[in-house]
Parts: sequence; structure tokens; C-alpha cells
Amino acid sequence: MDQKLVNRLKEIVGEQWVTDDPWELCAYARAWSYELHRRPEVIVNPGSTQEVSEIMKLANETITPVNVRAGGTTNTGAALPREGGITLDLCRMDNPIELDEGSQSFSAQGGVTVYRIIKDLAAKGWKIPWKPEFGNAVTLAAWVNFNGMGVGGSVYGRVGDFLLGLEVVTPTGEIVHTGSSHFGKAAKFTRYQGTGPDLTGLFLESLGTMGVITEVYMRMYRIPEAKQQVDFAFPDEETVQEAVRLLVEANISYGICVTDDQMSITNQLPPAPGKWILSMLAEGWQEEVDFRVKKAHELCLQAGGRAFVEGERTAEWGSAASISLPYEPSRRQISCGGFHPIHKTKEIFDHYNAVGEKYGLNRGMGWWVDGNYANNFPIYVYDEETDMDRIFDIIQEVHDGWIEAGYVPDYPGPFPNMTKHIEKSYLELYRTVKRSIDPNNIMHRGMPPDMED
Amino acid sequence: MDYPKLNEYHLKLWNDQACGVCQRGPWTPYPPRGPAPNRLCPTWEQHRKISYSAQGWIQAGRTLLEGKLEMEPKFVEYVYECSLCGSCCNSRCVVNGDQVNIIKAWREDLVDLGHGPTEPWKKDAAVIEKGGNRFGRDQKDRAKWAEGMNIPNKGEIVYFAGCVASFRAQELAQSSAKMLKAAGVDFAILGENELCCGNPLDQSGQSKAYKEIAAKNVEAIKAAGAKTVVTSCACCYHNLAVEYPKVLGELPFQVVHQTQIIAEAIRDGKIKPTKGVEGKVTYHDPCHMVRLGSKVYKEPREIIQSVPGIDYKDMHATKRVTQCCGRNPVEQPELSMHTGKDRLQDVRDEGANTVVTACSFCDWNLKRAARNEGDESIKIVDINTFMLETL
Repeated sequence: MDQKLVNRLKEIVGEQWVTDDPWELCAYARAWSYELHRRPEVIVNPGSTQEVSEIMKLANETITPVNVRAGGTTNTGAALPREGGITLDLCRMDNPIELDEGSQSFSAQGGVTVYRIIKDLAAKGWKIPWKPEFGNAVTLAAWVNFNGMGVGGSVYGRVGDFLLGLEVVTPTGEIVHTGSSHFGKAAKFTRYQGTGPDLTGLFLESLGTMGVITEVYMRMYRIPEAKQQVDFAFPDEETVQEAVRLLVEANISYGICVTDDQMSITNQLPPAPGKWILSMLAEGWQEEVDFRVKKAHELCLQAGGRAFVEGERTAEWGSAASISLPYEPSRRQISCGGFHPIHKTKEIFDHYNAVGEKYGLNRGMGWWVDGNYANNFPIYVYDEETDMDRIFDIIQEVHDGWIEAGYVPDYPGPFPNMTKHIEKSYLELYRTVKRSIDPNNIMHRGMPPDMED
Repeated sequence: MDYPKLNEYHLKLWNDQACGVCQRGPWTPYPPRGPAPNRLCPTWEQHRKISYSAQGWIQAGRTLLEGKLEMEPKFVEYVYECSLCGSCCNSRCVVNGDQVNIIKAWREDLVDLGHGPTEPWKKDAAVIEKGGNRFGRDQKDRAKWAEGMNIPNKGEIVYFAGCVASFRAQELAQSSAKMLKAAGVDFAILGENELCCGNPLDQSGQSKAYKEIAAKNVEAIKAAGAKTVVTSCACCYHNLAVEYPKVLGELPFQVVHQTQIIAEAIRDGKIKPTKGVEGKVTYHDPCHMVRLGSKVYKEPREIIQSVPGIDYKDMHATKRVTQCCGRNPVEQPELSMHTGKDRLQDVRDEGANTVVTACSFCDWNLKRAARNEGDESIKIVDINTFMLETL
């Protein structure tokens, strides 16, 4: 990178907050994903929104790619730069969280980890709906950038469903507030208002392509009196699919997550007590939880499952954590998730399983419910000596089958790149918006959807 | 292979998932079910870059072993930034507690190759080699703190005071000796035969010099006829109890921390605190007593809570997940200051007026941080001095 640019960055944030030492870049060249090392050219740690704004103005002026690095826990590879450039690490931007108990919401800077949010809210008896499935190191801004999803999504939905607004620095350096706080003297209590379309949605799930999220406003909830998990075993895809349908229809769960027996084998856990394991979580007042658990038993038995008997290990939702075992050669996992209607579960599973069988891959299928649909989270595990092109071909084959089944991906890439499946007019609208907000395409350049055909 | 010791951890380096649990968010326990420290890595807290955490060193180490990086002076300094407090070893990731061992192995390779250690550690080695202690003081003065106390040089129990208590803060050694006497323990000291425990040599990868000094200390202890060695400094305790056997094999004596003896004496009724203390009291667990191979956390609490009417409360991060005090005030002064101030904030957050420690270095670092902040509101006191005031 041009040393003049590095020096200008140092002028903005201070010398100690800019580094291009190759040994330090190593840490930013890897994320928890299948992606091979992709090294940025310089790391910058801004300390304020104003500094972020000045950095973006400079990057835009010099047409320098900018990638924002957060927890690095996404297994999609989106945490890594597609093209060298500047990597922004927002971890200095973690001022104390501001609670607004009156409107049951909080605001925090983008660099605050979800771990700290959980701790700080818990100290006052509050919580965020659920924790990220890939660990607590994720920052709040990244959680929004990915529109995170998790087991508590059954009742609370995804991050976008409890997001109230944002402070964002656009690629050209403007500072924008979305949600109610952009208007008059209004506080940060609602995402929607009568001043035009929902601009928060422009940045939600944008994977760092639309702007730098510097502050997040979010709903918080009281920690419930009681919480309970119940586990059921099912003999096949049809019965577990029916059980989920019944549970969702009854609207009694906080979270529903399902794993297949392969997940236990792959993660070296004790054998699963059934072909499929369904765990339902209930929360609320004790009487409420008791009722929900009782009802879950009725419905799961009706669908053809059985409750765990005493001594059977309680199901653990920990695929991502438990993959971290020492293997020789070392292992990586590739996830190829997406969303599908609950009644398509068997079709989605069958195709993923057939591809895994065909190529002899260790694997595990898991999924949870987000409101009225399923978020599947299948993993294939391979070792580092495997030819990545072969793995990418396999993943492409899985997605091709799923596209036929009517699923939608959870991310548009970077691999496989889903651009060609996007409706032409939708894609053009997206490109028009992206060009308007990021005229030099500096933010996470190379991240799909593609800007050109 | 240029880095054979680092390469011994090849499997861990290659399997590291870069998941961030060592510096920003542990997997478990998930609050409010268990201990959850506010901070996970002191070096990351200071630098706010993932490169300054176990994850960063592991990724750089792997890249070095892949032949894609060359060592240069600034890179060597980077490897010496970690305080080896072991907080990351709690993170239950694929590295499985070997984070500190990996960095120590890398430093050993650097020393063997002539790249390391960095200047402050090199100076430590020179000073220790010349004078036998880390302050460059005359060894003849080592037992000055014990003048008038009539402590013999031979006995079955030897009190190992350590450099800080012998030279820099003699009141620590004096309090320790008084408490041992109060407990009815007949003990000896090594006098000028007591050398530095070698902690800075072990930390910095100067393994040959470390082994030599460890052997000399063991010989001196044996010559004194000791069956038990008592330390009041957690660093000395860690070295004698955990590290010496790694380099010298099984020791011909047992090593205990003084809190273990005093707690027993309180249980047996040999020591009976009679005076109360004012204000809220908390205890800072030294890293070297609760992780990195040791689990001495019940006894200090037992001792403190024996004080009549005491208003005691643990801090939010205690025992295995304790937060570092800063550890190396001489070799890593900025990191040490930053970390010490963070820990003092934990004391304030708990509303405590007094924080008790059981390590000469923790006492040093916390007092140093408080002085730097001009904060006289918190009393920082070692456990023996604290207890003497209650007898």
C-alpha cells in the first residue's frame, strides 16, 4: 500500500492505531471459515465515528477497498477482505452500553461484543433475545451486518426483528442515523416511522458492503423467570418435520433446533439416541413453561417421536464449538446453509445427504426455526489437504439441488456466488442503490451480489 | 526445522479456528450460569487488535512455520508482548490450554536462534547471573529483612521469600515470617543462598539459564535439610511447584504456598483473629495460584473470612478466571500498568475498600497502578500483613 496513504491514516487515528506489519496482518488474514488466508494491506483501529468518517472519505477519495473486521466468527468467509486494502477493526469503539429502560432498548457502539452486551444487560436483569451460534466474540455491528440468526429465533426472529436503528458511516463518509432517532427530538425506540422507507434495512444483512455500522439500537427483554429444554428422538425426516410443523403452529416454543445423528459422529459426541434429535426450549413464567413443555410432549409424541429417557444425554447445540477438536491433518468445516419452508425439510436434507454420501464427506445437519421457516445449517468437514476446488464443486452441487427445491441462501456468497440466480430487475435495483451509496465500490469490493454481469 | 520447539505444537497451530474466544467472547459458561470475566486477554485490552492475543500469535506462528514470514527485531518484540497470564488457556478451544506453552516454546526457539530475548529480559538474565537476584543487589543483603528475627539457616521447613520481598518490599517477607511464627511453624531461610526463582528466565525462553538457577536453588534447599518449601509469592510458588519439576524432574521436597499453611493453622485453632477490619474487603487471585498448573484459591478466602465480622465479597472474575495484575512491571511496564489499572477498576466496581493479595508481584503492580492513578482510596495489602493487623 502507498506509504502516503498509510501516513494519512496515521494522521487520522494516531500512529499506534495503524499497522501494516506482516506478522500482525496474519491474524486478520484468517477467520473462522473455510477461506484460505486473505491478507489485508493495512489494519486501522478507529476510536470514534468521526474518525471512521474521515477514513471513509480518504478511502473513497483514493479508491481504496475497505473491509470491516469484527469477531471473525462467520464461517462464510465474509470477514476477510476480497481485495487487500484497509481492514477496519472497530474494537476500540466500545463505550459503555446505554440502557433506556423506559423504552426497553439499548444503544451500543458497533465494536462492542455480544458477550459484553449479554453480561452488561444481565447485570440489570435484561437480555438480548438469544446468543449468536458461532460464539460471543461477534460484535454488535457484525451481528447486524449478517442479520444474525439463532435458536431463539422461533419466537424473537432474527436480528432485524429486534433492531431499532443504526448509526452508519457511508462509504463516502457521511454519518447517518436510521430509526426514530433521525427525527426531531425522538429517542431510539422504534425502527419504523413515517418519514419514508425503512433505511435501516439498507444496512441490515449487507455484509459490510453499504457502510460502516458504528452504533446499534436494539430491543432488550426481561430475563424470564423460567427456562427449560426438552429433547425428543425421531426415527426419520417425515416425523421430525411433522413435529416441527405442529410446534410452530402451536406457537409454544422459544427455540426449536434439530440435528441429525451424523452431527454427533462428526463432532465425536456420544451417539445420538435417534436418527433425528429435536430440542425445544421454552421460557417465560414457570406456569407458562410447564404448560409449554407439557404441550411439546403431546405434540412430539403425536408426530411419532419419543421423549428422551433418563440417562440419555441432553442434546447440545454446539456444532460450531465442538468442531474445534485437534485432528491430523487439521480440519475445516464448510457450511452451506439457507432458508426453506418447514414442509421442504425432508427434500433439503435428502439432497444434502446424497451429496455427502456421494463424496464420502463427514457431515452433520442442523437447523432451527425462525418464525415460520427453517434455517438449515448443514456442515461438511474436510481436512486442509483436500483440494478446495473439489469442496467448492460439492457445495455448488448442494445448492443447485436446493435451488430446485425452492430454498433461498443465507448469504449471496462469496462461495458459491448466487448472483446468477437473482431476478434481473431485483439485481438492477440493488446495483443502482449500491452505486448511489458507494460510487467507487470501495466497501467489501468483490463481495456478491456482483456489480457487473 | 528452524523452530523445533514451536513446531512441537504444530497440530494446535494448524487446527486453531481463529474463533476469537481467547480475547473477546468465551464459548461457555454462558452468563448468568457461571464465571464470566469482563476481560479475557490483557494484551488485547491494551492494543485492541486481534494480533495481540493468543489468536494473533498462533496465526503468526503458523505463518512463520509455513516459511511465509521472516523474524526481524520488531517481530521478535511482538512475540515478547504477551504477559503469559494464561487467561486465554480457559477458553476451551482447540488449542486446549496450550496457548502459554506455545508462546514460551517460540521464545525458546528465538533464544536458541539468537533472535531473542528482547532487551529487558536479556538484562534480567545478566543481572541474575551476576548477582543472583533480579534487582542487581548484593546477595549479602538478601536476608536483611530477617535481622533480629532469629531465623536459622537449616530446618525441615524453608521459607523462600523471593527477590521482591527480600529487596524491594521487605515488609512482605517480615509479615510472612511473623505469620509463620504465629502459626507455630519452625522454619529456616536460605539467606544469600536463596537465588531468584528464575521466573523472568522461564518466561523469556532462556531455558538453559533457567535450568541452572533452578538447580542451584534446589541444591540450596536440599542442603538446608528442607522437606517443605513455603513461598509467599505466587510467582515463586509457580516456579518451584510447577516449572522446576518440568526441567529437573521430581523434587526431593514439597512446595506449598503460605496461605495453605496459615489456613490450616486457623482450622486447627493455632491462629485466632480477634480484631475486625473496616469496610468491604475483596481478594485478588494471582494467576499463578489458580491456573497454569495450580489451584490454590480456597485457602486465601478461608483465611480472610476468619476475620470476625468481615464484610467480604469476591470480585466478578475470580479463581480460575481471575484477571492478571500486570505481572511484569520491569519488562513490560506499559502492559503491566494498563492491566493493573483494569484490575483496580474491578475492585472499585465491587465497592471494596481493601484488596488483599497473596503475591509479591500482584502487590507491586496494584500499588504501582494506584499510585499512577493517584488513588489512595483503596488499600492494597498482602494477606500476611492484613492478617497480622487482626491478631
